Amino acid sequence: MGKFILKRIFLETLPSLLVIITVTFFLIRLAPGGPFSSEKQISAEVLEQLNSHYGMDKPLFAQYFSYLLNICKGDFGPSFKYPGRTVTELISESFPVSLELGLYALIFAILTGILAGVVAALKPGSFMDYFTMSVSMAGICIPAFVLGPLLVLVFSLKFGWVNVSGWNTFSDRILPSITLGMMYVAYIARLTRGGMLETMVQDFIYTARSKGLSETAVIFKHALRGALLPVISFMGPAAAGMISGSFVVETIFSIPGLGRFFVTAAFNRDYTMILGTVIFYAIIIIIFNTLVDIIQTILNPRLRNY
Amino acid sequence: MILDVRNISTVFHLRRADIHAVKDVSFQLFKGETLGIVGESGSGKTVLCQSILGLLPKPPVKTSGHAYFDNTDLLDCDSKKLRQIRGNQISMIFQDPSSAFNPYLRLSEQLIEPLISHGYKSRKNALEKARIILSETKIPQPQKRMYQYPHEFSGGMLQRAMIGMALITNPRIVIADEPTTALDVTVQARILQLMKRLQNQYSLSIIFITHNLGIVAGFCDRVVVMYAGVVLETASTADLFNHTAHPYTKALIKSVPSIDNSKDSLYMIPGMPPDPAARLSGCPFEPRCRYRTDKCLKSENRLRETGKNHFTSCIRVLESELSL
Repeated sequence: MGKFILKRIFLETLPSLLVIITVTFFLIRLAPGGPFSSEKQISAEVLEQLNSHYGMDKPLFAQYFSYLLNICKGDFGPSFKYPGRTVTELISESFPVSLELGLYALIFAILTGILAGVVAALKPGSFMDYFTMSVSMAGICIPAFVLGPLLVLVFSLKFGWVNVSGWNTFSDRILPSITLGMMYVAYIARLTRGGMLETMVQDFIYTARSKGLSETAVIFKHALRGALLPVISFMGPAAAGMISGSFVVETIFSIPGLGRFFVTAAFNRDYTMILGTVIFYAIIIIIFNTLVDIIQTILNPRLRNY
Repeated sequence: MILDVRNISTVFHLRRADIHAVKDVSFQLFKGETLGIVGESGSGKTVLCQSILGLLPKPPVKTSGHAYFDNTDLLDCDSKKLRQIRGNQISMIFQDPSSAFNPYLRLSEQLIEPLISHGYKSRKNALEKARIILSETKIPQPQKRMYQYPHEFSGGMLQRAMIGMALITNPRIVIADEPTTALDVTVQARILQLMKRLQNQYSLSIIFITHNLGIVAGFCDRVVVMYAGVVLETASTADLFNHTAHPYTKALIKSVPSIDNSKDSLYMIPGMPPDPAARLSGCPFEPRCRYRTDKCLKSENRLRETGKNHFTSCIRVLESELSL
């Protein structure tokens, strides 16, 4: 296992990170405008001073290599838009919020999605099948900016059970988690259903039944494990997306998470912040994909001979 | 008598047609005997046995008839009662061992399931029983091997383990559905030997589904010949080969390649088995039978005695017009 992880880091993770950083670094410089262009005109002297303060007067390649050198030391630079704050500070302040929201959404999505998928697969073509599948289709189709306000309208404004927005009490976590998780519920349910339908006609299911196992044991012990393999492959990038924050959900519920920086940094041409969030997101994706590989190896013994 | 199957019919209600896979089949199984069920692919052998244990999904499958086991009608008892019998009193051995084991679970876990699901409390004792049964089936190093996964075994080894799994609860009947079809010939012989030995040791009754008449000759006491979902002939193995009483059985025996006529081309029954969706009257083998006459389709297809414990449905044999 240790060898596997080392190999992963040096042969896969670091090279892909380098490519991601390089492409992002030069791509954002191609975009028109810069961090200091705004509605109000600033004088040429001020602009020159700003540029030299942030080292932007040097040649592009010199900036690129000094950036690489800095991130090797763990320094992601100052933010252009929030003066006096570093990118590391901003991310480490907002990420825990997104992580918490993402984990709740993840738990909600996994539990509801798998349950719905199993229920639908047990009697394909039945009312329950069509019901759960059309609900999950709706879950894919309804965007978060519709679902969020709709939930607020019903549960906050009409019933008054939870707050409209904010991030203080535990009940504040409920609506955003559902809004964020709903789309994934739908995907997980459909993947689980497909996996279950495929597994339930395998020979070993008949063997299990012929041994006198109860249908519950057949489903949860024998069928679900194989049926979940496609779900787990999907969950890697999905979980990374959930815990790194969502601009839409965070805006609807005024949550101080990481998601908004992905959008605002790009609008503001906040070069260091863009790079910081991209690298951070890439690392999370890589971590989750590695986790997926490890979980799949645990679930499927046939993969264990590396 | 340990199992009395009476008038079982199994229909698959599919969207395009109703498939009558098994039509009015009856047979008896006696204690300690091996009953062979022979027939071509699609003749309904497997469906018949799965119907008896209620293993087919319903809907779309509808089974009628009776299967008496210890005064319990297996086709007319609640699923809980049926579960108590499955894997405990009657177990099954499947055709392809590499797909009949769950690839995600250790062998040990799958071996002890029949015990655990029938109220066996101690996991430790169950594992010990699993180890003993694996050494009975001559799997080397059972203590180590049982904690491995199915993909770490060869087909023959897995089939041994499956036999062990079927016997671990000390059942009274084992239904073996073509247990050697997926294996090499050399491995086949060893598996059959093993089954024979364990049958004597555990005084088992075996229902042996096969399309291999060679295995029938060497392994079974009595034989049921099935074709297109119906039984055409039942007899003791000796009678079946020496006093064959149905043209289909005759043709089957003739189709077995033999060393004597290897210079000629192999014998083949002309034509194809009938479409299972079509409803037929009279003898289902009539279109392919070289002895057919007009009355074959007119008379009802029903088994009648032609010798002691020897039944055939061929009307011409029964009326002594034909001797095979």
